[in-house]
Amino acid sequence: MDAPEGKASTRPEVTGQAIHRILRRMGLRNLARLVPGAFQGKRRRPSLAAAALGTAGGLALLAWAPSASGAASAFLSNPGVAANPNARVPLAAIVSFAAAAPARTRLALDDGERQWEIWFPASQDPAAGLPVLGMRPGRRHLIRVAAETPEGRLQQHPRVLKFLTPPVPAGSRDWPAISVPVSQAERMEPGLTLLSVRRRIPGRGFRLTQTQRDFIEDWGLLLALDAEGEVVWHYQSDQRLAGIDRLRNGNLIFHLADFRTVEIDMLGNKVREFYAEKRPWGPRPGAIPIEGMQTLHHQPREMPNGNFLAFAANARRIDHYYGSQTDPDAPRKSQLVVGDTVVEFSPQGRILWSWNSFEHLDPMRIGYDTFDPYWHPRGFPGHLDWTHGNGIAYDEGDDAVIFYLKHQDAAFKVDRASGEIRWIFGPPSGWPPHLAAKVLKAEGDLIWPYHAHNPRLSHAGTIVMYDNGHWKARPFTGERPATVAESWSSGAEFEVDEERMTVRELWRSHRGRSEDTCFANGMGDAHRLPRTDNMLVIDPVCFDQDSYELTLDNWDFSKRHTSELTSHARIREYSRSEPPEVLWEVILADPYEVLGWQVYGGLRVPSLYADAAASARVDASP
Amino acid sequence: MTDTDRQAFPGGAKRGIVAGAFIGAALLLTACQGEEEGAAGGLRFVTEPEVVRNPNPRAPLAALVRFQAEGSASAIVEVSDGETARRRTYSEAPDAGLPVLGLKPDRDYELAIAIEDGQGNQLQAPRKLRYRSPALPAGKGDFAPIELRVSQPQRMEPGITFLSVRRRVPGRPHWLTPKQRRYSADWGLIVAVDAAGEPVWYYESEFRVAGIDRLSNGNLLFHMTDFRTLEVDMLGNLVTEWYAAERPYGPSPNPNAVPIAGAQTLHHQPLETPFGTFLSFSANARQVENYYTSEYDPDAPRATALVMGDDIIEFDRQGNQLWRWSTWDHLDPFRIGYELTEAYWPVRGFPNHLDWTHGNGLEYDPRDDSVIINLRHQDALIKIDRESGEIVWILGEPTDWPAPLQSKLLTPEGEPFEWIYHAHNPRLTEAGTILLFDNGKFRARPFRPHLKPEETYSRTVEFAVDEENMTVRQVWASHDRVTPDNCFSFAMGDAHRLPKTGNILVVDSICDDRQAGLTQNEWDYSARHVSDVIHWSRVREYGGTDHAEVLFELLIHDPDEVLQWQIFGGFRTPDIYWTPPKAKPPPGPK
Repeated sequence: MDAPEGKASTRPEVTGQAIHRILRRMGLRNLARLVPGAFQGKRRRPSLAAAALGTAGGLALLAWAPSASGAASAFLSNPGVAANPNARVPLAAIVSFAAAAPARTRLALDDGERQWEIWFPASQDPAAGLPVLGMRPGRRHLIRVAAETPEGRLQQHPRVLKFLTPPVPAGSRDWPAISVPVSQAERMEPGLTLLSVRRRIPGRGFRLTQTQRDFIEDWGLLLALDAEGEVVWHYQSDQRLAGIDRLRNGNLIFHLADFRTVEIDMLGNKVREFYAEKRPWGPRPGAIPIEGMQTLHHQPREMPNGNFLAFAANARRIDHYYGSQTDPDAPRKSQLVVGDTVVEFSPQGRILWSWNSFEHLDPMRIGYDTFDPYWHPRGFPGHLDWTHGNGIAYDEGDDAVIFYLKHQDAAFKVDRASGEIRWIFGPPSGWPPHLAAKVLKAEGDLIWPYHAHNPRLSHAGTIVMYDNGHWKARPFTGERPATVAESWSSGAEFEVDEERMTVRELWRSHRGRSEDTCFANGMGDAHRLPRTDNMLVIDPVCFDQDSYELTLDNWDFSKRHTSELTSHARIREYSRSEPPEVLWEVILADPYEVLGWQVYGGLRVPSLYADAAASARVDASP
Repeated sequence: MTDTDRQAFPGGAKRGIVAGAFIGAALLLTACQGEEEGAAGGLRFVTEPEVVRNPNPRAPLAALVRFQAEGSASAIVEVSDGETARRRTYSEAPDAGLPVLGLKPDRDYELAIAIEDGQGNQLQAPRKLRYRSPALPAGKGDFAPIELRVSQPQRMEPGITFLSVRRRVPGRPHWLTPKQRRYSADWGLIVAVDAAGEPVWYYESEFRVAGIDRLSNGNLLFHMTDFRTLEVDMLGNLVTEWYAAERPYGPSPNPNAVPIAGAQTLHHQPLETPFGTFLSFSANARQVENYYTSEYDPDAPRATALVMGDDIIEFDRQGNQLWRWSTWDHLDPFRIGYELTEAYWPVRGFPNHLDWTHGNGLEYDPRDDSVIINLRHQDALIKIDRESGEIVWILGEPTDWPAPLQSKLLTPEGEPFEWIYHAHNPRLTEAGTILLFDNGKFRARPFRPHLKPEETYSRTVEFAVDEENMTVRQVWASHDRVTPDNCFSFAMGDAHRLPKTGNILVVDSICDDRQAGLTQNEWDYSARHVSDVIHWSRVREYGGTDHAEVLFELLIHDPDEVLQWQIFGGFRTPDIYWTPPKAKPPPGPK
């Protein structure tokens, strides 16, 4: 993997081997061992720390190593390349060398088809390792390293580094088949698409064996795809992942199924970890507790002040609660009811703000799926799912939080300072009198979202969400719920007029069931993209068959349940036009329809690096 | 051809290496002594030997040694993996390639080649060859996930076990999508494993494979789900193909395939006879009026129906039919079994056809020139005199047989005794007893109350028939009740008594975690069907006192429980190169 080639510099060099020889002669054999393989030309995977230490040793020795030439070199050692020591991100490599002085570095990459450059600022010390991101799997890459000399001249090192990226996992079980039916790269929003991928064995959740459950839940995949739908980065998780957010420092943050929130860098290294203090599995050593919370779930969001917004669902016992979502006269019971608190916590884990749905909403206004066993396998047996928060956005302009509660079939805007609800966007039935005035009125043709997912505030101030269109009714209203055969999902954009308390529908990917629609009874994501105004819509679940009568009710055994089907996921970029045009389409599927593949959600990022300008493709392949 | 296994000492791998090295060195020494130029009786390597992967990707663990030589009568190839070395003498010409079998996956081998002139002169090839065998397919689901549970090689019947393996996407058949169906049915695996459960050979098939038989020429014979019968050599090359001329899919695309005239199907377990001919089931349809529409409801209306009943066909290599015996001529189509109306034939190209007999295994008995067949849906084993076509006896529960057959029924003798239900694939032992896999499904005939899945146990059972007294005795059974140890194989299954040790090899084709509440009715949605839940397959060798000890056990079990894995059946052979001795045809004119 690490095979430097090319002619050695005519200048005397302090190479890794030389450092080794000297250290061994000095009797510092143990220190010599710490000098990483990258410097020895051996196939060893150095850790970044070891690389830094080894380079430090080299620099120390340089103090007495005589220099034969007067010309200043940017390089004090030969550059080396090594595989990312963190196996969770196998498509990354680390280039390191000892630089004469802090200077900008340029890596020029060539995989035989594509050539591109990556620039690192002078503040990034190459001795600590420069992450190489954006390589495709199973390809040999040539990497040419250039650094600025103390005189400000860009000096290319004569060695050409070679790096072979590993292939993606073999077989159809650990990797989805990725197809790209449409790609109009020139019309697309530039950048890469990050996706949170899940796999599933078909079957009703409560009927899965423990082994099957482990297979589903002890696995997660983050993918980065380019405009051609090619994989340029992936992260393997040993837990199922929900929503991901990109932080301003370039890192990613996501919730894990066991109510941990993890920040990783793009090499897959854990930077920070939080956990819900009162989660059923107890404390997590080394992680930061979020006090008083039982869960952390769905989609975390970074705020401009560096804090995080997240859902923390907590249980309350409520007497005389519903026993059924279909029969309002079913005997009432004392029930454990889970409702969401929206929390803002600092990077140190301190809760700075919270908004508890139990204090503001009516627990007796329920939606369909309240009785679904959502919380049961997540450590809360028998608990009902009252709110089911699934996405949060922060509106910096007027310091408000926008979030969606799926089982309330509504998005809410809450003033952060007062905690007051500004508006409610959802079908108008069943709100308690004190909230009825907050419910936005529809203006023009508007399809009310039902069981929607993950509202996002666009750069234009509009609200974009994935409207699952599940049930299309609320309990006890007399409305007939939509059957599976009648259901369809879409990405949609809305504009709220807060003065007039109205909402208008601006765009929708579909307006009715068709051969082109998917029906996802969970998850999903949609964005209005900032540069092109294109719409990115992630259909998380598209069933592979619809020829049988299906039920959406987990407890209805007269029909097959939707979870018993396999599915694929569809990621599309549409023009924001009427009708929308598909500019990009990617399908993640099992070619044999053995497993179901799902994409929880995702986002378009300009680059894998925090500084988008750092990486630029010089010569894109046709 | 001779073949010796060089693990001379049973004391373990380390001594094996020493022994292998020692014998290897001794061979080299012998070779050197006779190797002086021109002194070896004109022996000469014209081309240097090479070893290559079997060019046929269906049998990737096989390799070929190729070279040209002068003056040689035979070639000796010694293959060593550093632990054991084995030597084999080939009489065939090495130009086309000498098959090297029994290589384990992903392993380094060293091959020493020598030639002999038949007069005691031997010439060793100048260089040893190095070969790395390919790894097994990496994708989960692309190879049988073998899990060894028990292995006592010193007490086991020596040899390797051939298994016919299937994979399946869970779900009742009519729920599967076309892709799921193809993934399940358009794939088959025949794998040979050693006592450690490690593959030493495999053949990947483009269709699901049913029963396999090892022919006296060393080739394998098997039926495919599309009613073709294939003879394949150990390099995976197709030698002969037969097909049912009247199959629903039309003639075989292979222009050299041999049609079996008047046959709609060829199915389950084919068998080579001592005459070099082949016996096979061929189910064929007849229209029957006023027939059953349900095996559960005796009062269901009758209707004209298309009914599949088995013929037993003997055919030769050219496809000539030498003998044919039809259940339609000898049995009563109105004596039905459970699963008459199951979608067995409909998913195999015969819509609405009912499954009256469901033959699934046959044996030839050269001692009296008879054929023993098992008809699953008659819940009976039937012995037929080949000469006269007459039924000699019927081993099955005595209900509802027509009057002329009443006298053919065997009477049970002794305790314990349990009738067979929906059993599979009878095998004649050397002692003359009959061993078969008794699936035990329903343990009743229509329209009597039957067992639920959780009340059912499958067993392997051995019977001794006394033809003079027309009695049958149960000699041995692996299980006699539902226990956590038994499987419920609702289909398939195989069993053999092994010749050297007397041990019993059993293939429990389908095992699951024996949960209660499953249904056997594909159309009952109120409960999960037996094919909706995950299942796996188990191979066992029973030995010791009363065959009560498990000396070998392996599972084919998806570690993620994504796919169902099944083993249709299999057999043990002493060696990968072993060919069954030609049984003597019965005395008298054929």
